[in-house]
This record gives sequence, C-alpha cells and structure tokens, in this order.
Amino acid sequence: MKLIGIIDSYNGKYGLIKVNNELIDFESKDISFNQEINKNDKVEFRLEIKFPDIKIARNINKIS
Amino acid sequence: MDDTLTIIKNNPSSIINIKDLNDEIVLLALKNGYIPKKEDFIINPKLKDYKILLDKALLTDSSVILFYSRNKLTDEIVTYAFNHGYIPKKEDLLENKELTHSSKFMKEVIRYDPRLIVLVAGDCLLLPSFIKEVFTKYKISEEDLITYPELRKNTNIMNLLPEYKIYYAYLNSEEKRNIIINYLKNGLDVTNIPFLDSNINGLCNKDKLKELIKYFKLNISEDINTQKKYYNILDKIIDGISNIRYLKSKNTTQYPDIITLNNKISLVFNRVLNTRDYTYIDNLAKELYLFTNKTISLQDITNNLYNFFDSYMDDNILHIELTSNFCNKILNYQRNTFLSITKQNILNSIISKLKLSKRKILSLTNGLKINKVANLLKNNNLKELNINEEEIQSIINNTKNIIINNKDIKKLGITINSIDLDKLINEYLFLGNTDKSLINNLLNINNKEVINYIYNKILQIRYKLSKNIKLEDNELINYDYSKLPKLNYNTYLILDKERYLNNIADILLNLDDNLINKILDSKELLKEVMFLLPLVNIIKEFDTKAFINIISNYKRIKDRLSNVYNYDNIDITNLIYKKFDEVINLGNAYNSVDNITVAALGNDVIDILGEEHSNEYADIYLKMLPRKMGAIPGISLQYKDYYLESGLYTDANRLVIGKKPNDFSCIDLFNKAGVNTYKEALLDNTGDVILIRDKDKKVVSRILVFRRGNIINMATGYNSSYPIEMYEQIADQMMSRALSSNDDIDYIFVDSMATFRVPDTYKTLTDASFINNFPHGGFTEKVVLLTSKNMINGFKDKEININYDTPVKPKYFKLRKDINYNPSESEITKLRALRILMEQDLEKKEILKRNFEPFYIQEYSMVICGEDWYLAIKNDNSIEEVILATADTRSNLEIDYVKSTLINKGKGL
Repeated sequence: MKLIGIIDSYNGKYGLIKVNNELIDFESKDISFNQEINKNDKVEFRLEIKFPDIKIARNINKIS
Repeated sequence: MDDTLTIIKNNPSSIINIKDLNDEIVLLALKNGYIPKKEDFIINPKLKDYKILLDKALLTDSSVILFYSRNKLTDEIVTYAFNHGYIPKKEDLLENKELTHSSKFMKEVIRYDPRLIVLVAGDCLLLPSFIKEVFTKYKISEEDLITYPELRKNTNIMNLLPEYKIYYAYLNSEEKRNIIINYLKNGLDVTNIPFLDSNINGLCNKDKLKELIKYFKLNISEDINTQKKYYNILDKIIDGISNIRYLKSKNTTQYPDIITLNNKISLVFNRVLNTRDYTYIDNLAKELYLFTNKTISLQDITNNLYNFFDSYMDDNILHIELTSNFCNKILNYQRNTFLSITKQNILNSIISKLKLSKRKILSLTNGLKINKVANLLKNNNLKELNINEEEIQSIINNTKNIIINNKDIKKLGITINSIDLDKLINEYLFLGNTDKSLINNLLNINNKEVINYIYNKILQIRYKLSKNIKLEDNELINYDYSKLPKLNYNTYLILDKERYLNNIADILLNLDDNLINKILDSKELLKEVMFLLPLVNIIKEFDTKAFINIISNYKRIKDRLSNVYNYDNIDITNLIYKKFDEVINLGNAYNSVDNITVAALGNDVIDILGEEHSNEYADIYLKMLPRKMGAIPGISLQYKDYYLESGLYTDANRLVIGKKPNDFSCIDLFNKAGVNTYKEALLDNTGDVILIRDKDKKVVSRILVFRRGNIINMATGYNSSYPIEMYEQIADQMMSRALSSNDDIDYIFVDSMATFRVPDTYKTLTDASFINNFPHGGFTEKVVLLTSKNMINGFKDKEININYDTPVKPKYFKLRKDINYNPSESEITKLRALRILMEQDLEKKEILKRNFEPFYIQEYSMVICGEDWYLAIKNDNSIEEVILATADTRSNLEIDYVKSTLINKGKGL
C-alpha cells in the first residue's frame, strides 16, 4: 500500500515517518536512490507490515 | 573478408593485427609461411584460441606453453616443452594462471622446482603420493598459505597438512565451529582464525572483529546467585516468547478479536430466530467454554448469551457495546490459558537442553552408586565392591558397636542385642529389605528417633562402600527428565559455559562486515543486551539469528520502544524483562527481507534460505526464469513415499539445494567450494537437479545431475544415499527421453557414494576423469553404470566408450505449467513481484516497487494465469495484463488463446 507521510525523525541511519498520528519505521537503505531526507520532509513510500504488527516503510521518495 | 585474405596472402605476419580471426585466415597465414612467435600472442591474444598456431610456435620457443589453455594441453605438449628447455618461472605462472589448473603441467613444474607447489590452483589434482614426495623437498609454510589463496583450496594438499587445517578454504560449519570453540577455550585470539579473516578465507575485517569480540566476554559462573539471576531472566524470556506464540496463533484461531466473536454470536442468534431452535445457543456456549479451556463456567457463558439474545430480539442487531465486556473476557481467558499452557510446554522442552548442576549430578551419582552397592551386597559380590570379608565385617562391627554403645539409646533404657542387630544388618544390607518396621520387629524398639538413628547408621555402610566403586559409562545417568524436578536453578545449569562458547562460535560464523558495522553502531549500549548471550539457542524463537537481529539493531530498538512507551531514558531492566517479545519482533522486522522478494520466492523457500541473503538468492532466481532448455532429460516419478522431479528450471524450490537435506552442504550460493556447482545445476544447459519431495510435497533432499559429452553422472554429496533401484528408474526415464530426442547420451552413471552398497551385477568404473570433469559436489573416482543406449535396447556393453568431447546440445524443453483458470492470490502476487524484480530500468523499478500491492481477488471479477503471465479483469471492467520478460514465445500464444476464448464467451476483450 502506498502512503504519504512526514519525516518525524531521522539520524542518517534510521528514523520514523508520521502518518495520521502513527509512526512508521524506516532505514536509510530504503530511501530511493539515497536521496537526502530531513525532518519534516513530505515523503511517499510503500508500507510493509511485519509480524506481529510492525510497520516498515520501503522505497521512500521525497515529494516536497 | 576478401581484402583480409589478400592481405594475409601477401603478408602472413599481419595476422597479428586481425581481431576477427577464423580458421580460413589462420590456415592461409600458415600456408603462406607464417611462423608465430611468442610476442604475437601477446599482441593479439585471439591467436591463443588456435592450437595449430600454438603448436607451431612451441616448436621454436618452448615457453609458448604458457599460452595454452588447460583443455588444449596434452601430455605430449607438456613433455615436449620441458624437454626443449622450458624453465617454469614463478612470475610467468602468476601472470598466466590458466595452466596452474592443469595437473599434467603442474606436476612437471613442481618436479623441476618443488617450491612452485605453492602456485597450484585449487582444482589441480595431484596425487597424494606425489605431494608427499614434494614435501620431502619443500615444506609449505603458514606464510605460503596466507599468500596463495588457491593453495588453501586444494583439498589433496590441505589433507596432507593437518597442522594447517584451519587454513583449508572448504571447512564445513561443524569443523569451523569446533575450531572457534577450541580457540575460545584455550584463550587464543579468534580474530587470527583464517576462515573469519576477510584477508584470508573469511568475511570479517580483522580489526572490526577484534573490537566486537570484546563485548562477548562474560563471566560465566556456576555459583548459585548467578544461576538464580539467570533463571529469573530466562523466566521473563519465556513469558515474552509465549506471547509471541500466542500472537502467531491468533492468525489461525477461531476468534482473533471481539468483532469476529460478536459476529459469530449474531449469526447464531439469527439462526435461532429462523429455526426457533435454542440449542444453537447452548452449543455456542459449550464451544466458548472449551475455547477458554473451561476456565469460565459454562453457566456463566450460557446466561450471558441468553441475556444478549433477549436484547437481540428487539432490533435483530447485536451491538458490540453490549457484548464487548463479555467478548473481551472470553478472549482474555483464552489468552491467559494459552500463555499458561505454552509456558509450561516451553519449560518442559527446555529441561532436555539444560545440563544438570554439579550439585545435582553429584547427588544423582551418589544415589546410583548406593543402589549399585545395595545390589552388589545382595549378590554378595564383594569383589566388585573392592572389599574382602574381613574388611566388610570390620565396618559392620564398627557400626554395631556405635549403635549398641550409643549413650542416648542407653539412657532411654534400651538394650540392643548383638545377635538381633546382626539379623537386622543382614536384612538391610544382604537381603535388601530396608523396611523400618524390621527394627521394631527384630529389636523390639518403638522409639521413632531411635529407629531413625539405627536405620540411617546401618545404611551409612552402603554410603561408605560406595566410595570404593566407580560407575561405568552405561551406568551413568541417561537423564530421565520425567523423574527429575521441573525447571529450577538448583537442579539445572541455567548459565552454562559450553552453550555460551557455542553461541559465540555460531554468531561469528554468521557475521560479515556489514553486520559487524551495524552491531558496532550500538556499541555503547551493547553491554545492556550482551548478558543474554548465554541464553541464546535454548528456545527456538531466541536463536542465533534472532540475537544477531537484536544486537545489530539494538540502538534503533531502544529508541523505538522509548518512543512507544514515552520513556526518556528507557529503563533497561524493563525493556528486557517486560518487553522481550517486542525486542525480538523489532529485531527480526528490522533485518527482514522486502515483501516483494518474499512474494517472488515464496514463504516456504525464504524460511529455508533465511532472510538475510534472500535478495541474492532472488537474483539467481531471476536468472533461472528465462531458462527454457537443457541438455539433460528431465524426469518425474514416484519412488515409494518420495516424489522426484527435475527439469523444472523455474521452480523456486531449486534454490534450496544448499540447505537440503541439511545445511552442511557446500553446494550453495555462499559457499566458495560449491558455488560454481550450484550455479551450473540451476542455470546451465549441462546441469540440473532432481528435487526429492516427501508426501507433504516438501523438499527433503536433492540429486545433482551433470552432462559431459556422451555421459550423465549424478551425485548427492556425502551423508546422503539412496537405493540403486531408485537411480535405475531415474536413469531409465532419462535414457528413454534421450533416445526419442535422438540425443548422443550413451551412458548414465551415479556416483558410488550416492547409493548404498551395490550388488556385483552392476558395472562400476574407477577413473580420475569422473572427478576432473565434474564440478565439486560429491563426485568421486568411482561410478556405477545405471543404463546405456545398448542396455536400454536389450544389448550388453562390451566396452564403455566415454567421450567427453561429444557435442552437447540442449534438446529438452522445460514443461510449461498449464494455464490456470482459478489461480490463488499468492500465485498472482508472485507474478507481480517477479515482474517488478525483472524490470531493467532502475527508476521505473523503484516506482513499481513503491506501488506494489499483493493481489486481492475481491477487487477482480476474473483472473487467469500461465507460467509467466496473468490476465485479470477488475470489477470496473478494466483489464490488467502482466507478462514476465522471460522471452518465451509460448506466453503470447497462451494469452492470445485465452483472450480469444474470452471474446467468444462475450467477455469483451
């Protein structure tokens, strides 16, 4: 499922994306083409759900 | 072309400037007097493809031998070169490594200069007798092994250097584990181990490994307080894992949430209204009673349901607000029961993995010894008691005196008769009748304390005698856990040094630089979690992989949990003790493989391969997909309870041939010894693999199959053998297909190690060519002939004529899967995933990935699929068509066929 969210935190290695008050985990390797991403950037991504209910963002693309 | 020929005719030496050579040009040059020189081959390397030119040049310069490829070398050429002044030089051989693979050549080189043995390639087969002789003239040093990687791969040489076994490139994981444990036990620096060091055979940078290993040092103490502390930690780990199992069970449980339960109740009520049969409610009550494992009273449940039914009758709707408390209670009770039972199961299963504490072993051993003494006494076997009559009588007399003269007994006015005491001792020691009532009967004593005193004193004799005996190995404890108490830190060794060392070895064998970097990212926090290291591999969910997932993401896990639970600086004790399941789940999720890869390969395959390298296996799978043909006939048969199949080049299960029947196999993508074998079997015309499945259609083993010239040979790798009859059936099918395809396969063999002892009626052959011509993978010199072209036609083979030069042509097409008019969601999802992974344009691929979704049938009115395509009609009548880039013309034919069928049926395509 493709979603849009805002970068809530990112330390250059991993971070969180905020989507409707929910926080989605991501890692730098899942940022498309190593784009530079900063806090408050708007991004689109594919949501994956890992057991039992852990949300991970993949293929993250900055949209603004 | 005519111009070229003219140039050559006029100036044959100008051949060195021609890149596009062919036989005509070469022969013309030679005819016109061209004499190739060594420099010519350097200027135009294409000249080396022509043996005729090399042979000509060799006549005038024996050092031209360096340009021969190994398959162009013959014994005559090697002999000629050496007899005509060729002097092998180290620099030359380092620059022209091709010949270091040739045993013919290297034998002569080493005879000339034994020191050059260090240059042999890994697959250069030298006989052990020759190598031993060389060793008398030159001893390979540790430095040689570090400097020359091919030397470490040479099995015959390394087998003769046991002192350098750790340098061998192809140690299996068990051998590696034992070496690491040995190093750890002896306090040696594990970072010196060659198969860990990326400069030698390993995957880890030595300095980084050195830094990491510091964090693994723990003080493993057997003292009771430490054992108690770890017992409490283990208890919390078990709680966490029980919860993980509960959450997993929710996927298959009848009532995963209160809404499902509420809906079920509503359904039952509806049925009751329609049928006026109230037993439906009673049955539901019973079902829920069992669901909670009878922890809520049946009456309680029944009353609630009937109350709900009364409300339901008002408006025929069962409001969740009405039932939520009840539903929550049901689910909570079910959860608590599940957790409790699961915890007990885990505790019971753990016991068999734990050693007994020294304390317990001593007490059990003493108990066994005393029982042995009792039996020996009963049988009057003083010899095994290592005592003679006098000595035992002396002990008995001594004990008698102590009892008879005991002041406290005398004070009670009790006199003990010596003869009666003798009778009692006889009963206890020699007749094995240790009933306390005998003391009353024989000595006429009623006083309980005195009875106990006499009882213990006499039986102490056994204890004394037990010091004289030893227990044999077969008498020692075979832990019968049913008799032992449940898990506790007095009886069992919770913290165990051996498991701790094994865990370190296991972790080291699973590390590479990437993981080490990730782990060291959390290095300032590692001490918070390393204490768990000795408890890894007691319970399956907390194995080495799970632990590596945790430590390689620990900082991220901690940050995440502090975010979730709003701790400023999360209390570490709380983290592990109360949130252990979340710690494991997050670790696993953070190191998990992308869902697109999971969809492409399938969960079953990923479970076997493991997630960490699934992407690399997926890359191999993408190379497998376009394969349509091979030079080995495929087979399909059932042998007893096994299903055998080969030739299905696009079956993702073929990726697991390195993990089945066990994961010690070197035939795997990540094993240097067998990676080429792995790839040939899966990707090349000359390779194939027979997958062996059990009745549940799970892959349990495999047979590797290779074609060389006019023969096929099969092997399984060691520790895996099957009956010759099974191979015969395989060979018969293969040969039948070969005959009907008019193929030049004359013989089909199986390696002697792949089958059980073969009757004498079978012809066997022994020749080094069965090793030299086949890749690493269980092929030995000895093979068994299964069938031949002659045999299948009813004739005998007078002689076997193997010809490795017979051209091998791919003739066997892979069978395509039938068109499926009712595919599952996962089949279509897989095709979607593969379509994305096969996309060459990286930007487009990334967009496709971002938009990837699994296939949901409810969004479509129809879906049909073939081997590598699908066609789906959405509910809004839009059409989705996906064809994988396998370049199989049959895909389009199938789709056209399906479309025309649908048009005829009025589906408007």
